[in-house]
Amino acid sequence: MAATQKIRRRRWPFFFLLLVALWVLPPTFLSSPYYLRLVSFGWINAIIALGLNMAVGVAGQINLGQAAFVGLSAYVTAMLIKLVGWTWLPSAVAGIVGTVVAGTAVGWVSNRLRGPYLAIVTLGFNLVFQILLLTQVDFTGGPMGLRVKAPEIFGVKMNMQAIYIVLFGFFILIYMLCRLIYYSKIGRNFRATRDDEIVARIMGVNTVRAKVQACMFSAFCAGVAGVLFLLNYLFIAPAAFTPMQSFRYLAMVVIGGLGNLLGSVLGALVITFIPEFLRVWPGLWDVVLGGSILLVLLLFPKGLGFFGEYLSTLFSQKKIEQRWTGQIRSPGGEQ
Amino acid sequence: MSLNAVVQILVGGLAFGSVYALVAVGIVFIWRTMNLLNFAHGQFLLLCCYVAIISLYQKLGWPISASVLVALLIVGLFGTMFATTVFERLRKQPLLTSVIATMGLSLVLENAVLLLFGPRPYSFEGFLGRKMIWIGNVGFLANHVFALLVSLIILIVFASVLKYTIIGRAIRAVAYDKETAGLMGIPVPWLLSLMFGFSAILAGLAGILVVPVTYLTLDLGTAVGYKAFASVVIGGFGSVPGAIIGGYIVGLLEGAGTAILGTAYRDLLAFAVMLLVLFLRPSGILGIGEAERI
Amino acid sequence: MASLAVVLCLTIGAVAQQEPIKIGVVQALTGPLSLNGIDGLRGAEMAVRSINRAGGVLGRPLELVVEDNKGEVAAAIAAAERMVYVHKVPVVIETNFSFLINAVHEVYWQAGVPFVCAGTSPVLTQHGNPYLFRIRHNDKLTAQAAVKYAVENMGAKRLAIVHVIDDFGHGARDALINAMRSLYGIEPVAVVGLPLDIKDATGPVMEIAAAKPDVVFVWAHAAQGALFFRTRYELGYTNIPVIGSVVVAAPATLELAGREALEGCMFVGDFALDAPKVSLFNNWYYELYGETILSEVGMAVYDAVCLVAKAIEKAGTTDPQAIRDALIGIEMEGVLRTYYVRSDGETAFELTIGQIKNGKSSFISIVRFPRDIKF
Repeated sequence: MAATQKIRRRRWPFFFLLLVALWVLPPTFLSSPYYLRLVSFGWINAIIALGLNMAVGVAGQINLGQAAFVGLSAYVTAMLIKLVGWTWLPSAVAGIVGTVVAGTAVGWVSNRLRGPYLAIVTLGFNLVFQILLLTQVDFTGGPMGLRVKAPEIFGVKMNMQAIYIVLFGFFILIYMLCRLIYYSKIGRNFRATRDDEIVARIMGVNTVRAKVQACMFSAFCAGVAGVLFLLNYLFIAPAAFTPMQSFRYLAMVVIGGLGNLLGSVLGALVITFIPEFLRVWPGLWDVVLGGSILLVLLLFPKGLGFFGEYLSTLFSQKKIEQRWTGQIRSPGGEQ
Repeated sequence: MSLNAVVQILVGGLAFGSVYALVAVGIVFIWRTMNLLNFAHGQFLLLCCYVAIISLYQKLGWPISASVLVALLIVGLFGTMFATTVFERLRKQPLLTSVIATMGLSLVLENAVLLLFGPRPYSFEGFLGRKMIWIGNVGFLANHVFALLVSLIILIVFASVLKYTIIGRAIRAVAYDKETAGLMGIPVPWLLSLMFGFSAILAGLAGILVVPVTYLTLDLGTAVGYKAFASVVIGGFGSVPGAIIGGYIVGLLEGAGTAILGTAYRDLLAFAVMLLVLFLRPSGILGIGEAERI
Repeated sequence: MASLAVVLCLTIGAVAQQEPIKIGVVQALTGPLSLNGIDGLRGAEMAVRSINRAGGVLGRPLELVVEDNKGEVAAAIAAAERMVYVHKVPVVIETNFSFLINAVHEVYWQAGVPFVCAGTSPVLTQHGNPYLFRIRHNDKLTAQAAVKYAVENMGAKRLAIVHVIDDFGHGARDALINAMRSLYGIEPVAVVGLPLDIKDATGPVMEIAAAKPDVVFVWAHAAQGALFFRTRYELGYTNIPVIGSVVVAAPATLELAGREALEGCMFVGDFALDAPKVSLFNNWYYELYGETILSEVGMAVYDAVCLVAKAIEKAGTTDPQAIRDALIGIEMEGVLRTYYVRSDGETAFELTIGQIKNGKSSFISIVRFPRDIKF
């Protein structure tokens, strides 16, 4: 008992410090917009991956069209700002709400469909979305894309540093939200639905509602990320939301470990940063990405879960107990 | 638009439809036997076409028939090899894993083709060359008609093999119930690999039929692949005749989309119908798919 | 790939061992747009070779710093920022895709680094970015020239438009419609969009034929254009005259569609395959890379590098602002045309009108626009 108390007190300040460091250091020291924007992009992808993981890894729903949800929110926000003249805040809210509605609709309509159907539905949604973006030029700007101006706080335009701080704040929020849901009853329902839907039903879990909730939350994360994407680049084009992008988000989730939240964050950061530094051999990166997905899934079918889990043990109390005392306090070991 | 124009567009649509049907059959086959959604199927098509048209026909100067046959064999062997190594392991995983894995594979194959052959599009005249066939005063592209007829013949042969030969019966047994078939002495793993290889050959053939009416580009794999998946869904997921009919329906929808809405919306109609079918009638337009309701 | 080796060789090249002058090149080397990107990079390499062979710039060898924008928005912005903040090059040659230029031009504006891009969309110079220069023509000019020729030289009254669905095609379509309206007050009888991944052109050809135009304008890239031309030829609609963008005379189009399919088609733009300079370039390109040019972007980038080199010579320094100021007013003869750099970034004021006759591109006329023309 005493050992775990000490550990608990010792771990939290470190965690908190790391958070503050990641929040404050980059905008202070990364003076070139290139690095700052890149790191921001990493956090945006982390948000998308987290949301996707909740639906795919935790609730077992195959989503091949996450990029379309991100794009939906980004485009709704941008169109409201540019065409209707709203300011950022209401446009962003509308964008997120719109995406959540779309995600709920997709989740609700396809909730009686099994895996392969859901996969194709989400893929179809992504494809139709692309076509609409490209053809409805009067609304979406078509292939030329849409540019927006940076938002203003009290009349001052937000610069890159301010944008980063806001962005990272949202990332923390979403991560905590994910953890909250994961360890809550809803999260347990998700996992039960994923592991065996029929058994879960027998145990009294409303799997239909669970699946819809998972889609809703995943769309919510995508919606937030879409707004942040627009904020980070102030420019969007249909090319940013293709099925290939959806696959990249899936790759982040898979490499980090399906069902493993911290893993998704790591996977997102890895897939965001590595191609930037692997610029010597253009063309090889995509082969490496695809090949590594394949390898990971063949050799570690649950994704690189063990790596993410190890990292989680650094912060999770239960696992620390497990390591130190060899016993788990509460039944049904989590994670 | 005149009636002639509409007929021409529809024939073109049916030609493409038959190509989608061939690929769709392969996808359904793999699904039924290995419980696997192979998102890399379009890339088998791509590989076969590039090998046949560029490596063998253009670079080495082989005659067309030989190039095609050898390329089909290569892609069949390739598919079999993948079946025994990669897909066997994926078969036991949840569907999600196999979906992501095959998508990863498609990325690898497509970029391998890019690295080996470069990004430029290539032209291929096909077996008949660029000719027209005139019925009355309506002209049809010979390659469209060729694609239609050849794929029809292949599908008929394929159906007959399934129905009347011993191997056909063995395949049907495996598709119906793997375990029992194994207990009855059918060499299941060997047969599965064979079927996978054969699916790959069907895809390759579809590619050889379609390239003469369009161009050999890197995105041919995904373009045909997406439509093939739409065919599988529209015709009734999991059913082989459904896949075939679905293919023709998608082809016709493409033609209709072009004729009614304009070329930009050609794909939209097909995918929108696919979504509608999934939402309203998951067992496919004809109701012969496995309507997975839980 | 080979580019890395080439860059290394160039620096050990035929110039005295002095610190090289680095210029940036951003192209779509991977991804769906890589056809033009690879071509563009090759053009840049060829330019550096010939410049260094002639003694370099300010007595120093020229060196390329290459980044890949993957044809994607986020990667393009990242590549531009890398150029400016990490590599700190004084001038950059950018891609030809207008939507990507739209995405990145603010980066160069904020950093005060001039860049030369190869896009033709009229929108680009409307941003008012003083650091943006484009090496190709503004599609407003080609649209005006094409419409004028159709109406005045060919007596056309019914005009149809076929365009590829991307930034280039949309820009051209709008420019053509504007030209028709402002010059003659007429509307097109048909406008058909070709998707980038179009596989079957029967629909577009029939749609155009049904509208019974006197002339059809075709603005596309090689893959889509070739399919359209071939289908038009096969279905027997060669009686509808075509005035197109440079795609009509592009080697890739001629290879894919077959020269007989393009017989009689006209083009307005900057190059023709059989023009002497272009032929020379093509031959040299074939020597170096084992295939004919993939598109016109290679030559555009070649000219851009030469233009930038001239500007650096004129400025006498590698300060970005000085280079930017030095660019203005430069006149240069390039592979594609004679350039004159204006302060708003436009450099192309003359166009060639040509026609494919007997399988070869033959010259019809040059259209010259006043250098103070308002866009």
